[in-house]
Amino acid sequence: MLAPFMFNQYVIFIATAALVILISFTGMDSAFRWNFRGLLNFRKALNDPALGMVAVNTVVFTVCTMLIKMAWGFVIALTTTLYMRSQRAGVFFRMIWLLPRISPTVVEAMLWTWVFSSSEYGVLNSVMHLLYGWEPVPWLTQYPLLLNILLAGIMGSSFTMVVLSSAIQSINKSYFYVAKVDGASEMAIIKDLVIPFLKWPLTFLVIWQGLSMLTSYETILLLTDGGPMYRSETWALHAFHKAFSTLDFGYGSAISVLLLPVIAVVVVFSYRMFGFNKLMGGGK
Amino acid sequence: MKISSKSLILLLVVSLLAISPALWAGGQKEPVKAGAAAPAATVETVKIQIMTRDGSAPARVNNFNDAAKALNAELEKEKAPQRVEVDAFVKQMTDPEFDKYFIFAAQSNNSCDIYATNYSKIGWMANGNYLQPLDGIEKAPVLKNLMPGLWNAVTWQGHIYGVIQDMEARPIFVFKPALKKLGWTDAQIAALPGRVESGDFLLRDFIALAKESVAKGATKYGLLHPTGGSDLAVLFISNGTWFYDEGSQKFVLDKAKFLETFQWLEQMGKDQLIPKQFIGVDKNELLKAFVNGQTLFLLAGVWDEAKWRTSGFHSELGNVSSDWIEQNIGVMFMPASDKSVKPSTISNPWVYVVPKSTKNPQLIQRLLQAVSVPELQAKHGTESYHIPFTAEGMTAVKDNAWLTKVGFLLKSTKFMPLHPDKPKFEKILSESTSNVVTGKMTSAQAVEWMEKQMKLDMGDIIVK
Repeated sequence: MLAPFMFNQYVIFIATAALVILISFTGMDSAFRWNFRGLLNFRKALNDPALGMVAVNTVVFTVCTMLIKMAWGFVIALTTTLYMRSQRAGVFFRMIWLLPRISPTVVEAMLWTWVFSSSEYGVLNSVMHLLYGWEPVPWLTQYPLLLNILLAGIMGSSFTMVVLSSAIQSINKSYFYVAKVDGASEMAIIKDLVIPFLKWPLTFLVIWQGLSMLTSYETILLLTDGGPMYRSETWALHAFHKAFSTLDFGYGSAISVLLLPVIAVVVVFSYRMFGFNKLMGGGK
Repeated sequence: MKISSKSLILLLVVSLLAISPALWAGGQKEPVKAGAAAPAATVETVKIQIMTRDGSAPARVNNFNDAAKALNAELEKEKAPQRVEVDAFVKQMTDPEFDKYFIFAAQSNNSCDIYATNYSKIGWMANGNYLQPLDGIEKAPVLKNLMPGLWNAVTWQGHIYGVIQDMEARPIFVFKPALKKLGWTDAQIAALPGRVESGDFLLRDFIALAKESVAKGATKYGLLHPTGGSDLAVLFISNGTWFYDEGSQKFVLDKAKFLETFQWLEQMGKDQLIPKQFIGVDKNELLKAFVNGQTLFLLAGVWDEAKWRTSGFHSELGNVSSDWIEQNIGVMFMPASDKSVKPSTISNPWVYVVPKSTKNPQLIQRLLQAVSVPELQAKHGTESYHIPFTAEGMTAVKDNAWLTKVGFLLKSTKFMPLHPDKPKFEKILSESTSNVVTGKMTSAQAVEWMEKQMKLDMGDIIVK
C-alpha cells in the first residue's frame, strides 16, 4: 500500500537528485550530450558576477516573505477565529483569503503586472495620477524585490492562516474563560496563552515556509522574471534561467546543487534550535 | 514550484530521455518517387504534422492545407503511390517553452514533421543533430528568387537546414504630427527616409531632433525601444558594430564600438529622451504610447502595424485605419553614425525546419516548396503583416500599401548570428543596455560587464 509513496520518496527523489548532481559536472546543453568537465561549472559559478546579488536577494526574499506570511497569516487566523463572534463570518473571511491559493498563478501574475505597469495606463499609476497628479512610476523596475516580497508574502499567507486557525480553534475554550475571569488583557491572552499553544504549528510553519521560499521562484518568474538586472533574481530562479532560458543544463544544475548544502544546514539548524526533532518524532 | 520537486523531476525525465534517445527510433519509409505508377488501391496516405507556437500568425501552419491540396494534385498526376494529409496546429507557448518542447519531443522521438520557428534556433538545433539537412532545396524554382542574403539565415556550417517562411524588419517609426508641430513640411517629412538612407540624416541629427521634440513639447519622449536582443541590435549596428566573426564562428565584442552606442543611449536616458519607466515593459505599452503621440521615434517591427489597426491602442479612435497610419506614421532605417556606415535593419525571419526523425523527407521537401508559392506568402503576409521572401511574393502583395511601403527595408537587412550561444548574447546585450539607459551602469561599466559575462557564459569570444 505504501509502494507508490516509497517509490516517490526513495526512487524518484533520490534518482532525480543524483541525476542533477551528475549533470552539474557536465557541459550538457541543448544537444543533451554527457560531456563531463569536472568542476568547471562550479568554478564558473564562483566567477559569475550576478551570483553575489542573487545570494543576497535569496536571503532577503526568503526571510522577509516568510516573516510576512507568518505575521499576516497569524493576524487573519486570530481575528477570524478568536475575535469574530459569528463562526460563519470567520469562515467567510478565511475563504476570501484562500482565493489566491486556488486561483491560477499565471492569472494572478497578469493581474499584478497590469496593476504595477510602468506606463501611465497601469492601474496604480492611473489611480495615483488621478488622486495626486503623480507622473508614472516604474514600480516593477524601481522596486522589483520589494513588490515580489509583498505579493508572495501577503498572497501566500493562506497556508499559515489555515494551519493556525485550526490550531487556535483546538485550544480548550475554558482556558480563555479562566484568563478573562482573572482579568487578563487581550494582549496577555495572545502572548501568554495563544502563542505558547501554537509553538509546534509555528515551528513547523517557519521551517516549512522558509524552505519553500528558498526554492520557490514561480511568482517572481511571472512578475519580474528576476529583473531588472538580477535585482529580483533568486537562487532557484537563476538556476532555472541558466538551465531553461539559455539551455545550459549543466551550469543550471550546478547552481541548484550549490543550494543543497544550504538546505542541509537549515534543516540541521532547525532540528537543534527549535527542537524540530521532537515535533517530527511526535514527542509533543 | 520548487527546485526539489517539479524542476528536478523535469530534469530527471529529460536526462532519462537523453540517455536513451534511440530507444524508440523508428524505421524510415520509402521516399516518394515522382512519376512512379501505382494502382489506385495501393495509394498510401501519409500524415504530416506541422506545428507552430505563434498563435498570432496561424497561416504559418494553416497554409499547409492549401499546399497539401496542390501537392496531392501533383502526386495524382504523377500517379505516385502516396498522398499527404496535413495535421497543422498552433500550440501557443513562449519561446523558451518551445525550446524545451522541441528538445523533449525530439529526445522521445515524438517530433512533428515540420516546425515553423524562428530562424535563429537553427544553430543549436543543427548543432544538437536534431535537424534534417535540406541541401538542394535552394534549386527549387519557387525559391529561386529569394531576397538576397536570405539563404544565409538558414545555412549552418555549410548546410541548409530550413526554408524561409517570411521576412520582417525592425525600422524606426516616426510620429509625423510631431514633426509638423516642429515646423516640418509634408515634403520634408516624406523625404526623411531617403535622407537617412543616403546618409544625409545621421545619428546626431536623430538625437538632436528627439531633443528638440521634447524641448518644444511636440512629444513627451524622444525614443522608445523594446529590450529584446534582436531589437536592440538595430541601435548597435548604426555605427557599424557587428557581433560575430563568421570565419571563426565566434562572437565579437568590439569594446570601442559598443562604448560609442552605450554613450549616446546613456545620454538619452539621462535627458529622459528615453524614459526609464518604459524599459522592459510589455511591447504593447510602447505601441500604445507611440500611436498616442507620446514619443517622436519608436523602434518596433513592421508587423506591429496590425496591432495599431486591431488592438484599440489609440485613446480616442481605438483602432486606427490604414489611411490614418499612412498619414501619421513614417518608417525609416535607424540613422547611421556617419556617412561611411550603411543604414541597416535586423530581420528575424521565421523558417520551417524538419526534424531528423521525419519518415518522409522527400515528400516533406516537396510540401515545403508547395507552401512557398507566392499566393501563400501573400496570404500570410497580408494576414499578419510580415513581408514575403521572394521577388514573386513581393509582387503578389503589391496591392497591400503597408507591405509595399516597408519593402525598401529589405535592401539592407542583417541577421543575428545563427550560433547556439545567440540567446546568451542577446540576454547580455539586453541587460547591459537596460542598465545603461536606466543609469544603473555607466557606459564603460557596461562594456566591462559585457566582457566578463560573455567570457563566463560563452567561453571563447573575440575581444577587440
